[in-house]
Amino acid sequence: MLQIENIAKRFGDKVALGGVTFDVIDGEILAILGPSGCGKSTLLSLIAGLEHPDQGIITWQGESILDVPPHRRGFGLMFQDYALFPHMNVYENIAFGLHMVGLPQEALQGRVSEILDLVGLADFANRDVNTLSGGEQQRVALARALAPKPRLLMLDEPLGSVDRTLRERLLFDLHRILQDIHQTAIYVTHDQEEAFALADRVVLMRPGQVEQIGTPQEIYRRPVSIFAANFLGFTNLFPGEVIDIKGNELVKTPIGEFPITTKRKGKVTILIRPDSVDLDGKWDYSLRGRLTDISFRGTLTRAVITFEQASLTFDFPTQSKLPALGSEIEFGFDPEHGILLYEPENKIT
Amino acid sequence: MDSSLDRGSPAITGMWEYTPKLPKFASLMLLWLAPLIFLALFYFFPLIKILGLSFSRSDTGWTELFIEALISTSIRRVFWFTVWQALLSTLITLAIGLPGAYLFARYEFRGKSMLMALTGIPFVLPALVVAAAFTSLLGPRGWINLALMAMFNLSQPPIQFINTLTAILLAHVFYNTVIVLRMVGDFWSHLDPRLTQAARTLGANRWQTLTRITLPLLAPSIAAAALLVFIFNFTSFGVILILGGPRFATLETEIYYQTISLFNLPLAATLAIIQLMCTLALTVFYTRLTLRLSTPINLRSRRYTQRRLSNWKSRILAACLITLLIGLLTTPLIALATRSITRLEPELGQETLFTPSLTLDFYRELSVNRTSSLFYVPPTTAIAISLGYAGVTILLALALGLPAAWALARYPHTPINKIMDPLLMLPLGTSAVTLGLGFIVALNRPPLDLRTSILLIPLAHTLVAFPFVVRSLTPALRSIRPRLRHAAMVLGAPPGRVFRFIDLPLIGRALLVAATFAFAISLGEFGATALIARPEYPTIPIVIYRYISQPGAMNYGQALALSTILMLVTTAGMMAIERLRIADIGEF
Repeated sequence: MLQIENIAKRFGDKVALGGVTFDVIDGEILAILGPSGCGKSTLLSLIAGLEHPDQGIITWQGESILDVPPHRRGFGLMFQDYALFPHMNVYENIAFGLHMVGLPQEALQGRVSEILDLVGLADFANRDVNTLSGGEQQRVALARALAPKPRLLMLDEPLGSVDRTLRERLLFDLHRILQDIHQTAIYVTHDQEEAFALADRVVLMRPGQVEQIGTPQEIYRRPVSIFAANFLGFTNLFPGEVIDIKGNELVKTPIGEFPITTKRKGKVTILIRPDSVDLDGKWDYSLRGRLTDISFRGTLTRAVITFEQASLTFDFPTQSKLPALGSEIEFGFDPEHGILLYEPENKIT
Repeated sequence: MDSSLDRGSPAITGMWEYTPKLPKFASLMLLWLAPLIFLALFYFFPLIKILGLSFSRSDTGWTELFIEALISTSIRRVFWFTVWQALLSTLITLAIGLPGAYLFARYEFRGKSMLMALTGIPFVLPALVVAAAFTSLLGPRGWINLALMAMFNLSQPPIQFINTLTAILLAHVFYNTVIVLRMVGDFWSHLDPRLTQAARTLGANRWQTLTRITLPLLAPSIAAAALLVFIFNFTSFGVILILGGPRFATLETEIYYQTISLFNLPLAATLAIIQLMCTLALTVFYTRLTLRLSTPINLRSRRYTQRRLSNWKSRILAACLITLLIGLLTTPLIALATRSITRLEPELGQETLFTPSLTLDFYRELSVNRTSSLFYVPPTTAIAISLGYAGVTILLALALGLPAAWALARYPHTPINKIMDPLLMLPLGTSAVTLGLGFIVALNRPPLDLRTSILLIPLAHTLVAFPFVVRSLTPALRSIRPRLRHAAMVLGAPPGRVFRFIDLPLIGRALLVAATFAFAISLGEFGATALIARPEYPTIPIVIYRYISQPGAMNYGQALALSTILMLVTTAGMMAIERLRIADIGEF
């Protein structure tokens, strides 16, 4: 439906976007995930028409919308800080977009109460928006963006400023609401949990560029680059080498040599996934090291294990019985799932 | 200045600025078109005309005139006195205003908003009224002298106040304290108190915290306030003329004197240019400073910065400050009002036994034409004329001020705005007499023959009100987060409706403040009006001046009565806007 082709935008000397391409499919929730300052918000303002790209084209169902002013694009945008109109109450805020399309009074009232029900704010119509809590403001902002039935809804870090418990609940509500009405949406966030929980597909960005596009599972299982791996929180990166012994490929890592199927040859950068280990001996390979640090993360326990050549971080299920800090630990390792190879990079130590 | 910050930190604009269809330069020029035409026709054209005319009357070239003026000792004395009294007034104003600013910025107490409203009143009072107020308090027939005379049985008033430097300084402080209170106080109230707390935890004592943290952070706002106060003092007219008397001459009164009494137009024009150069330099400097103020560091919503007066030390400090402020700012006004309803002397021919008594005679007499003067105008008519002029001034000033403020707010750092911003302030620094004369000589032939037009006075008033209007509207427009406009656009509002539904309601209060300024300025303007008003259509200040310049207790009493009416009208206007909780005189 929406296609972004080779979009570039600079502000003065700073390149905000340097040739970005992706598309949005009808009915899907697409998350744009990336560190702050990578151009996510700029991308939204380009799609909304608040900015003009320096290069590239944006089409809607095959037709360029670059010359369509923002108020005729029929897109909804929910702003990061909500941008509720401070001089209007909840009802007036939500009715604004409907008022702009000239909806008759009766239909307008019906639509507002319908949308208030949808976001669970049925009793809030006459409330002053300045007196609402963060979660309530967020719902009003969502309701306001949804009310005119936008062809595409864009959400810019909508959960950025709410606390963790509330975020869990709002995330769940948001998912339900968007699915109920089969809303096509672009969801911008720097939080991978949010992106993975909500999105059908994820566009992972590095500053100014698209790094990887895929389902949350694809991206989590196979980050395409060191940047992507780093961004997803994978820290076990080491220089290594792929060697060929009698037709069998082996990869040399700081924790041993493992067989691997790869097209790469010679020097590589190795990522060892933290979730590829098990204490119950399920896997063929077993590793021995010293347990040097433990941090409790809820369902998982993160352990730093020191080997002769390196220290690595692994996640064990919290139920599993870890030995005392400082003692030897032996555990199973799944190299097939646990080792990913990338271009060699000098900076990795 | 306020409302934006209370809603959260200022939004980062750059990334979200909507690129309009028109290029920036074109839309800027479009916005400046009307204000520029107005300034060109009614400021620069008359100014150039009167200056040119003045110089053409001189026998020598204009460079020689300047050299003559610059080496003349009497002119040099006038110049130095102008600078010196302005500097002294500014320093005293800061000394009183800064502690007050601290009080308003850091403490929350009962009656605060009332006190804030009160401090705003002097600023909009006409100089004539202020002069009348001070004479009724400290003049030869003022309350204090009367009380001392009665107490010690003196035949002469013991305190010589009128025609002293003290009178000038006191009146200037009375006028301008509010500028320091509001400009510094407002900035201070948004300064994050955690900064000073951090300094304290790092081992700084109170004094070190004040000198190393607070004052450096406040410096731009203090400098801006001081500069503005200085500009006002530098060009002050009514106060010097009426309270200073013939002994003191500043550039402004000297221009008046040279023009009206000596008809030495070449010298008057030379002085006007010198004054203009000084104010231009000061305003350029000033607008630079205020630009720095608009991107301040670590601003916090007021909610987090204010405390209650919780201990005795702070309560005593507050009580002293509040008493000082109320004493300074309200006693002259109360003296004026009470003096206007007190009869102290018997009427002519009834010189026997007489005791001072309350009377409304001065008010009653206002509508009696005792001298059968040809140009007698009943004060009710003068009030109606003044209100009519004020109405037109409001419309004109808003119509011109809105696009100018819009241009300044939306494109803050463009070169054209850097030129226009100080330019707008110039009418404030131009001698009202020069301006009035300029109107007379320049607007006298078609298509601009406005000498008999009723628009002439509102045009002059608009010129003076214009900078105030622009400076009230600009911060309000600037405070509207661009995201609100973007939200409206995305929701389907075309540009016109964005302005109608978002900008206009959000600056509603600022519009009201601006309108009130235009109203108060139009009601009180005297210098230019005195020259261009037609005798049969006088404004209130003109009528007051007529009463003042005639001898006798009745005339004096009537001047006081009319001044009181003018004070009440302007005060009512000020109170009305304070009631709407805009505790701001705008950003100057």
